[in-house]
Amino acid sequence: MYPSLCAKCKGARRLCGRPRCPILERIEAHLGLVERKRLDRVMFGSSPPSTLVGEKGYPLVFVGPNIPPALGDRAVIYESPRSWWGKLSLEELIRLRSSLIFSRFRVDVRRAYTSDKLLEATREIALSIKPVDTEVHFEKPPRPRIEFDGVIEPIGPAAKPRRLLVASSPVVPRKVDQLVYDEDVKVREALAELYVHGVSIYHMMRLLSLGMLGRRIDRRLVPTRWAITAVDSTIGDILLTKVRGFNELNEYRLYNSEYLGNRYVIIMAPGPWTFEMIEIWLPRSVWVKAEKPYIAVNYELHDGKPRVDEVDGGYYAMRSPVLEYLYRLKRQATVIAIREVTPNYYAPVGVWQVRESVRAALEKGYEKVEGLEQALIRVSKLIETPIEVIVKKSRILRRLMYQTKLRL
Amino acid sequence: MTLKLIFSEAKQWKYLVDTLSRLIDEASFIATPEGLRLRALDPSRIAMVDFVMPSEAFEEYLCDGEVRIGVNFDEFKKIMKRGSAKDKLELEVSEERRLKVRFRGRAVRTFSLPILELGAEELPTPRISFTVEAKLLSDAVKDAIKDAEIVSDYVKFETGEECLLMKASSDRGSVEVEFTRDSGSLIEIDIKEPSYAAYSLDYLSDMMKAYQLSDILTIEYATNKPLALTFDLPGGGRLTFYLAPRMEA
Repeated sequence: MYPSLCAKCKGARRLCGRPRCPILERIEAHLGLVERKRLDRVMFGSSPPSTLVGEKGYPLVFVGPNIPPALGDRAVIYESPRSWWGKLSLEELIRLRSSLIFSRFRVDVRRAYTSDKLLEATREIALSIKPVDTEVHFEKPPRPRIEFDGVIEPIGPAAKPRRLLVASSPVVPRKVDQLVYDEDVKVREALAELYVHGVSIYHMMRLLSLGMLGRRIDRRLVPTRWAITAVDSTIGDILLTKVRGFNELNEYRLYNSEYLGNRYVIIMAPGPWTFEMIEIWLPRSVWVKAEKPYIAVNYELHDGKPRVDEVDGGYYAMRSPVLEYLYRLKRQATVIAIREVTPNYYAPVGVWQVRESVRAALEKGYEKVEGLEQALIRVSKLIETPIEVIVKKSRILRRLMYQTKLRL
Repeated sequence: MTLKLIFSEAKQWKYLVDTLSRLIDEASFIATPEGLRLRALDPSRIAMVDFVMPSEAFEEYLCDGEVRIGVNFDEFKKIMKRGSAKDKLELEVSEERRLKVRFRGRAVRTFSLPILELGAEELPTPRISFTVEAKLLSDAVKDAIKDAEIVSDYVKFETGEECLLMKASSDRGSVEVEFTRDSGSLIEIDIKEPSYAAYSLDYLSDMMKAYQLSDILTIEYATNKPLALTFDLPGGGRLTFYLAPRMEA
C-alpha cells in the first residue's frame, strides 16, 4: 500500500478496498474496552441533543438519536464540541462517546416524507437546543463497542429501537421552527438565515442531515459526514461574499493553538482573500506509518473555489472559522492555516476538533509580526516540521515571497 | 441613452465571460459608439485584463453615447453558461438600469441582471518595453501550461535560437517545452535580446481558458518584466492579459 493512501482516505473512502479501515479497527480493538458494562434493553436518558445519519449502505442508511446514560442538563456534555475544546482529553472524549447509545434504524434517504414514528422522534430531538428526555426500548440489548471515523465523532454501542418515545418537549428556536416548515426556501438561504439568527452550525448540521431544510422536492436524509462539510462550506461561502468586499488587513498576524496533539498556526497577511490549508501528519500519527510526514495542501484564490480536486471536510472546517473571524473583523486577508498532527492524537475524534481549534486560536488573540520572514521564524518555533519543507509545499507562501505585482 | 448589441455567436461570449470571471469579480464594460471595452485588475493586482471589441464585430450595434455596464462576473458567468452553440446573443441595457441578456435560438430566452455602479477610474495598461514577441498556436501553449502544472506552480519563459522555451521544475521533476517554427507551433518570433522570466501557473492556466476564442495568440515579455498574452478575436476584437513576473530565488 503506498504511504499516502491512508492519509488521503482517513478511514472514510475505503481506498484500500477493505470493508473496514484496518487502522480504525486496530484503534477500536485497543480502546473498545473502556466501558464493559452490561447494557439494558430499556433505557431512559436525555439526548444532548445528538442525532446521526450513517453513510454505510447508502441510500439505505442507519439513522437515529444518540442517548447517554444521563438526564437533563447533565446530558449536555455528551455532545458539546464548543465546551469540550481545551478541557477534555482524548481519553475522556472517547469514554464519553462510548457511553452514548446510537439508537439506529434503517431508512431510505429519499423517503424524507414517510410518516415513520422512529424518524419523527429523531427529528423532534434534532430540533431542540436543550437535552430531550427519551425512552427507548431496544429489540436486543446494545453491545458495548466504539467506532471511529475520520470526520464525525466516535460512535458508541448501537441497537435497533422497537419504541422511541420523546418524553419532554424539545426547545426549538423560533427561526428554526419557521425554516423547517418553510418548504419553498432553498437550503443555502435557510442556512444563511439560521446563521444570522445565531443558530449554531452544529444545530444546522443536525437539521440538514435529517432532511429538514430546503425545498420540499430537494429534501432527503444526508449522511452526517456529508452534512458537516456541506454546512461548513456553505456558511463559509456565504461569509466570503461579504468578506471579499472588506478592506485588506494591513499587517502580518500570527495565531496559534494546540489541542489533543494537534498544533495549529494561522498566518494572516495583507492581500485579497486567499486561503491555504497545510495539513501535516507527522510520522507515527494516526494515518502515517512511514518515517516521513504526510503533507496535504489545498488552497483557494479570490474566487473561493478550492484548486485541488480532493477536498475533504478538514479543509472546510478550517476555512469556516477563519471566514467567520474576518467577517467580524471586517477585513479580508491572505490566510495560511497550518495543522500539524502529532502521534499524541492517537484516535480521530471528528472534524469538530479542527473547527474549534482554529476558532480558539483566533479568539485567543494574535501576535503582530514584522513581515513574512518574521512570521516564518515564529512558525518554526511553534511546530516541528522544518519551515523549508512547508514553504516548498505551500503555494501561497511562495506566492507571497516571489510574486510581484503590476505597476501601472 | 440606449444600448443594444447583437452578437452572432453566443458561444464566443460564453468563453470570454468564463475566462474573465476567473480573474475578476466585478468590472465595467464601457460601450461607446466605437465599440465595447473592459479593463480591470485582478484583486491581487498581479494580473490585468484588457478587452476591446469594435462595433463592426457585432451583427448589430446601437449605442448613442457612453454606457457603463458594471457586472458581477460570477453572476454574469452563470447566465452566459446557458448560451448554446447555435444561439445569437443580445445585450441590452434597460431603462431601469438592468442588463438584459437574451439568447435567440430555438426559443428566445431573456435573463436580466442588475448593473453595478462601480468606480469610474480608468486604468492605464502597464508600460513595458518587450524584448520578445512571438505568435503561437494557442492550444499548443495551453498544453504546455498543463504540462508545467504537473511539476510546479510557476513556469520559466526563455528564448533560444529562434525559438521559445517554457521550463518548469521542482523536486517532483521537470519539464521543458520547445516551440519552434519547424514543429508548427511557432508562427513568428522576434527576439531583440535573450530574455527569461518566470510566471505563475495559476494565472496562466486561468488566462489560457481563452484558447477557445482564438487559434493564435501573441506572447510578449522581457527579462523579469510582466508578460502580455494577446488573443485576436474575430471581427477585429482583442483580449490581452498582463501578468506580473515571479522573482524566483
